[in-house]
Amino acid sequence: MEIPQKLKEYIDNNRGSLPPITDPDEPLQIDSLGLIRLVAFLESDLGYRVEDEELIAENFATLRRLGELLATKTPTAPTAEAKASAQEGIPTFSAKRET
Amino acid sequence: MLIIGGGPGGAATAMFLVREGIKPVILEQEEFPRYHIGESLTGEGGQSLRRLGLEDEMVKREHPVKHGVKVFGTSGVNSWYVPVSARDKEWNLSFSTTWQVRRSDFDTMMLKEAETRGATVMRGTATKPLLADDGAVRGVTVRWPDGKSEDIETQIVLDCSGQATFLANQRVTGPKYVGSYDKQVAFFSQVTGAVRGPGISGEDAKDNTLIFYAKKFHWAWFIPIDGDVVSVGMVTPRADFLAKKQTPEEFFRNELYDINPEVRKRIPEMNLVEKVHVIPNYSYQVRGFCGKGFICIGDAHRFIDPIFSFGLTVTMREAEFAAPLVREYLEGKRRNGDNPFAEHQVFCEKGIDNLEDMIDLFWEQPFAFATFVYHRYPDQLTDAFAGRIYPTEHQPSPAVVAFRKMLKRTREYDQDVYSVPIGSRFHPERAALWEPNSPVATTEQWMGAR
Repeated sequence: MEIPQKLKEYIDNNRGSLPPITDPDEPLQIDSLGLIRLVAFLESDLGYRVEDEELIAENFATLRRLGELLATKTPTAPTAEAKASAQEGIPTFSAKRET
Repeated sequence: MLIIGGGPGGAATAMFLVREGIKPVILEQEEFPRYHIGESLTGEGGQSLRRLGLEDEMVKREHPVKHGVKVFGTSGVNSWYVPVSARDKEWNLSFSTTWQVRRSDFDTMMLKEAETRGATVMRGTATKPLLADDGAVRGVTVRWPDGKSEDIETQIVLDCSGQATFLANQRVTGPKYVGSYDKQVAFFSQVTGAVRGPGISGEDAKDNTLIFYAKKFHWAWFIPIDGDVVSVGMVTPRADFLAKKQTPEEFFRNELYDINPEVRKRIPEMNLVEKVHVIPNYSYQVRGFCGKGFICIGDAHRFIDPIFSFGLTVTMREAEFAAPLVREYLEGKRRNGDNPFAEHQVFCEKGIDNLEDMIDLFWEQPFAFATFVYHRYPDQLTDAFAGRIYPTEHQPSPAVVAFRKMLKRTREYDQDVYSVPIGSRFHPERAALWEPNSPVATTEQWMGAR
């Protein structure tokens, strides 16, 4: 199982106050909104394409599961699609955490 | 030319017909104003009202302006915002607004407006259709308030009777099927003192719809209907209600706060100013809802899960689509063939099928759905949420195609009876999806393969 360093950093930085993951079977504990951002990060920043059928929470439960998912894939150049669609004045959906 | 039912479907139909140069008669059995549920419009519902020239009237009456819908996730910590949007002729997307309505006021306004524009409104109840030898509808028997009955002959009957589904119950249409969402119950009332958004536009606008998501088939709504009052409702499995052995009001008061932590913040005290209403969240679909001498509009032929507030919008859009066809029919066109309105029928079905696929995926696979909305198909889904769901509106969009793929569902329209409705393919031997310890995990599994 190989996890790209950038992805490991992204996950560690998006678990709130939890410490960095050391055990590949430790639950990632990323909430639903965080998972959507993780998918966006995988596709837009790392160039992985996650298929629709793979969008089930179990595939993102642990580093091992995520590694198994990515092992089937070859990353391409990042698409940056998500960034392009976030133009000002164009209605898109926004999501946020309440503080 | 007779319209059965003076709700917003009937009134909008009448006004669109007046635009075509036709002055219809509306038959309504109830005295208006009267209470009705279904208080929110999507973006395209607002556009329908604008096309009817009613924007100034809506503003004058101070109907709350809806900028979007905020959906709170299970923990109350995460939220999604769905803005109301519009498309111009070049299909450019822009922000828009629509309205929330107290139905007693709105429906009365619509009916009076239809009358002012030339429709005739009569108090009475349609009791029986009059059929010609070839099965065409040629009128209805009406019972007047004094108890006397009379046959009224007309070239065409437009059934806007809502959930009463007059023509379907009279077996004039094809069969009426039970839909997927019939094991839930909705409890609703109105409250004062609710905490609305702090802003005047966008995500925090004070009169936006709030949806509180709990878990599969458990949710609540929050819809401001005037300066003081908010419509609040809760949908739960019927089994939960029956197990508690409480009155509807007790159950509503006890369970509402458990739906989602955000509910208590928004409704600190339950100052109910309306009785607690209960209706089964009953969904159904009528096949063959158009034919010689008749068209069913809105709830008169189909009702699906109401979570995204499509009811009023779909009804008004169907009214608008039907009006020019009715004019042509009255001009003597479209008289050949079995169903003069077959194209309209499939057109309307396709629109609601697109919605049904979206709602089913929302319930079955919330993570995939949210990823589609937020990341993968934001533009296509802002269209769907606004009610741009018809074949002339770039539908089915790649998003809807993806929903179907994930639901392992196909839609076919090339036969006369183009398919058994999705929600009824396993009817009546239904597995009890919502009962405790149900062995059935998904709606698709529950419905079985075709």
